[in-house]
Amino acid sequence: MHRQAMDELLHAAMLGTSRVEARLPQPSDELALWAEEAAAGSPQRRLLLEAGARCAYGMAGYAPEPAVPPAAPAPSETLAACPHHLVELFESLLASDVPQEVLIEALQAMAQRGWRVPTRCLPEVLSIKEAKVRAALRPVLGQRGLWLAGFREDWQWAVVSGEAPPQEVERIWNEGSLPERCLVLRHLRAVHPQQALTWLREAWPREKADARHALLRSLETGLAREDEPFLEQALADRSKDVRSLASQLLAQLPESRHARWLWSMAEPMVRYVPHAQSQQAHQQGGHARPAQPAEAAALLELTLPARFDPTWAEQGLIDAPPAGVSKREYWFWQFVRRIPLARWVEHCGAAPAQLAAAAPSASEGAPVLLAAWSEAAVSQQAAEWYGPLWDAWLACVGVEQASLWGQACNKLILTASGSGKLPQLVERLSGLLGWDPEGTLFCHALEPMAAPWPADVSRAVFAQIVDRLQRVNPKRHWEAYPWLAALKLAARRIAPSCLDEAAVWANAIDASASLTQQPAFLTFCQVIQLRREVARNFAAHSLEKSSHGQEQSDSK
Amino acid sequence: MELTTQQVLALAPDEASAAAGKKLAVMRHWKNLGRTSAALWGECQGSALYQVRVDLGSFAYGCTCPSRKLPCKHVLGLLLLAAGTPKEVPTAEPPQWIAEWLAKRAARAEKKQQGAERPTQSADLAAQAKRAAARERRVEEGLDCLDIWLADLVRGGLAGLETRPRSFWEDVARRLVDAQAPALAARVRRLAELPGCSQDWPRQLLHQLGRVALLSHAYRRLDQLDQPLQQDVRQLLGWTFQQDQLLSQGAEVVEDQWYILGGIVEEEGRLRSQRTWLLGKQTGRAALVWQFAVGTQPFSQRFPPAAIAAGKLVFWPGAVPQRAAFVGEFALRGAMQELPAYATIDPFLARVAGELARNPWLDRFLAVLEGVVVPQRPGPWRLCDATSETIPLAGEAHWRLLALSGGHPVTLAGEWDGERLCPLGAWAEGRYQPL
Repeated sequence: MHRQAMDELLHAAMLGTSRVEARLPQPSDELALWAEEAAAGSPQRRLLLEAGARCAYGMAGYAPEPAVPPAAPAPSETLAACPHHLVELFESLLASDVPQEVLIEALQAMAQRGWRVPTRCLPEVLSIKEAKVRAALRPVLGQRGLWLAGFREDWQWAVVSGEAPPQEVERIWNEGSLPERCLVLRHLRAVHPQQALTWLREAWPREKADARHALLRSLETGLAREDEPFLEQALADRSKDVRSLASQLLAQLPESRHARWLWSMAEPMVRYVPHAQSQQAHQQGGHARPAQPAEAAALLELTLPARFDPTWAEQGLIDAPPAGVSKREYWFWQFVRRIPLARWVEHCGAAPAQLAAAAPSASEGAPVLLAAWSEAAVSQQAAEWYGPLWDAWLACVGVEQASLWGQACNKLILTASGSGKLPQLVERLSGLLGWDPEGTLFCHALEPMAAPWPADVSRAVFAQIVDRLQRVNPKRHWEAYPWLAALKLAARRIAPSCLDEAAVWANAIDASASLTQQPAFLTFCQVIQLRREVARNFAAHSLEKSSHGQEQSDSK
Repeated sequence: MELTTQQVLALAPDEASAAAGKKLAVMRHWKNLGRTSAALWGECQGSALYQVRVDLGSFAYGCTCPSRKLPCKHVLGLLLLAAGTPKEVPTAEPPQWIAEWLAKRAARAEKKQQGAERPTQSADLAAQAKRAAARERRVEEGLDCLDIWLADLVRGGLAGLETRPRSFWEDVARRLVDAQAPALAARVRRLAELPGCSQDWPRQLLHQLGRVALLSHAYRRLDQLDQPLQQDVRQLLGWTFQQDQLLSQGAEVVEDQWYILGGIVEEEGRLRSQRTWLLGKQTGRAALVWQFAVGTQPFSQRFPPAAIAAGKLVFWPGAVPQRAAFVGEFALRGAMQELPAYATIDPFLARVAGELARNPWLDRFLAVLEGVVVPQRPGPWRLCDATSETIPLAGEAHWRLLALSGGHPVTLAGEWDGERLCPLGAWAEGRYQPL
């Protein structure tokens, strides 16, 4: 009744009491009677007083609504909670100015100790988008984290890691977002390659260009001859990216028509001459450089394509090069990178080491050749080429670097991280500093090396950086910039065992030196400090288990 | 008392100071660190040597740097250092400058105490009486104008108010300020937000207009009301009390250990206000401490949530005393060990009804309830208690609360405004976690 009375009042108030339709109802209860009396004849006053009184009555009489079924509570935890005094340290790692390597280190340490992320940080942590951090987070979310992740679309990554059940798979394929569909197709391809191909073929005509490109990529796994017809169809696609990708996939099937065509085009472009003969040999063939003096070295002669044949576009090659790359080099690179490296070995009759060694002194186009071979080596995972290619690259330094080369270089260095050859690489790089005193090459090469660097590499790199910074001429302070950038990078990436040394060095610097005013140095100190705290609190005491009784202090 | 890093960072006036304080919390910048049970000090090497000190009992701090931000980054750095690596700050004999500072503070605090207890000067009572009478007259005239304006509003209808500019409400508010009724003016100014703010705005606006009308009605019959309610009506119109006035007029003083449950900060133009809710450990009284600051100035007192403040609170007079302030200094003692709560929503709402019966113009109530947080999609989040009744929560997302509760019942402290509960903090994992 109160509500009805209030509605009538509201109706009258909205229209305005001056309107005839808005007549106030007769007083129906005590409140209205009181208001009528107190208003002393003014209907507006009565309306207001009654409304005010009803407001208080409404608040006092608030009736809670009946329940909606709450979600099932979270299951109890299996992992131990993070100790309370470390919760704040963990929260400080989530700040935006902290490099994500530090967070990843802490998460990995927590996973090792069987801890989970503090509960109050779960929403923040689930909202992180970087893939590497997500991978480190999965083992430490705990049951509460998984339960919480189920409430939001953008937190689903924490839950969906394994395979979905079959009906789910089909539903996602038909209705899901593009990343989900790619994931599902990839999983299916690993198990039932043919079925995945069938699905893709059916959906193909309806998809947009970027969807086609993303989905086609999932055919990389389990590539077989039966895929050739479909890939030929994709080769005739409207979008040039799709054509290019189809061409790369077909190139991996050596018996396919396309692969054979590629080889037929690429074969004459590279010629290997085992021993450099006299001047006559050089005047044949393409654009040659004078031979190496004295030694009978091997030589590679490159013939870059002179023009872009229009039929090549139908075969998945792209005409227009990216910025900073010349056209002919780009076309050459596209051909060579698709060819399996074993073919070159066979064709030239020389081992990978010899081929790679001959590359730097090749005729015009050496960096592009190295770039193409590096791309091929990385995508074909031809590990025996890695070492020779680095050596070649290091010898090739001084020649203008093509931009294609930069990407390939990074990929190569990444492979170095995995295969344990990093120390040698760093040694060679340090050796080069003799004639690259600015060190841009050295610092540039540090970037792709995956964190954390092995201990010996960390020490070597750090020693170089420290040495260079001390020798910087104050009048030419711009020379320090690449080294300062390297310093910041080193703070994030050096091995945990080297952190103390780094801290000692930082503390020992005289407070009046100009270095201490550089923001890079301050960032360095901050990150080192943070990592030390993380190491001390999160990762400590693994030594306790190994040496019984003896308490080795790992900090200080 | 011991502060944790989180609480120290909560004291920082802004992000930049917090970050700068963190950068300074490294041993290499500090010399002559030391502490006793009462104070913490150190010397920081910045562009000059700054002396930094903190009084641990009442949480006051001082620094010789020229920064105008309080607390400055040096103080924050010192506190972070003490919180993070207590071993670096040894117990030591306070040097000369510390001892002097502490002595001066003690003397000042005593003088303030004495001044508060001294009765007000009874000089020229006649002039005071004349001023008071003049004010009452002005307020009555202002309220007469307000009544006419309200009647016009209702006569014309509320439907057209959505399109009115802000100046429509500002004019009325200004006239009320001229009539020396500033609190009522603020209330009217807030009404400007209502038209168009939600589906329900006509009902809300009518409610609030009705309350204002009721207030003006009550003022005309002030002598018919009980004394406490008279005080409430006066305060709602704009009469204020200074803290020493309160003490001299014998206002209620309650000494207890007060749980600091959390605060809400609101901005109105350039004025920022913070209301912090406290709950008495022994007395179970709820108290609301209001603080104001202009622009980017920090608030004068810091209340780190989850701590206990021991001290005396003096309450503003009224039928349901809510607003309070600390008499003298308060000491921070440890962390909360428990949180007493209502087991279900009904007894809490019953208490709210009782309080409204004594003062119908109350706007907010402290709620400490046990229940489960339920997200609704779409729609408001709700708190569901053990008897399966729910009340809506204010705000859009309460993921942290959901994470902490994990679907199990938690004890939640919040501010209830008659329609929605705004969460302040929850008891989870054995401690009070602010939200």
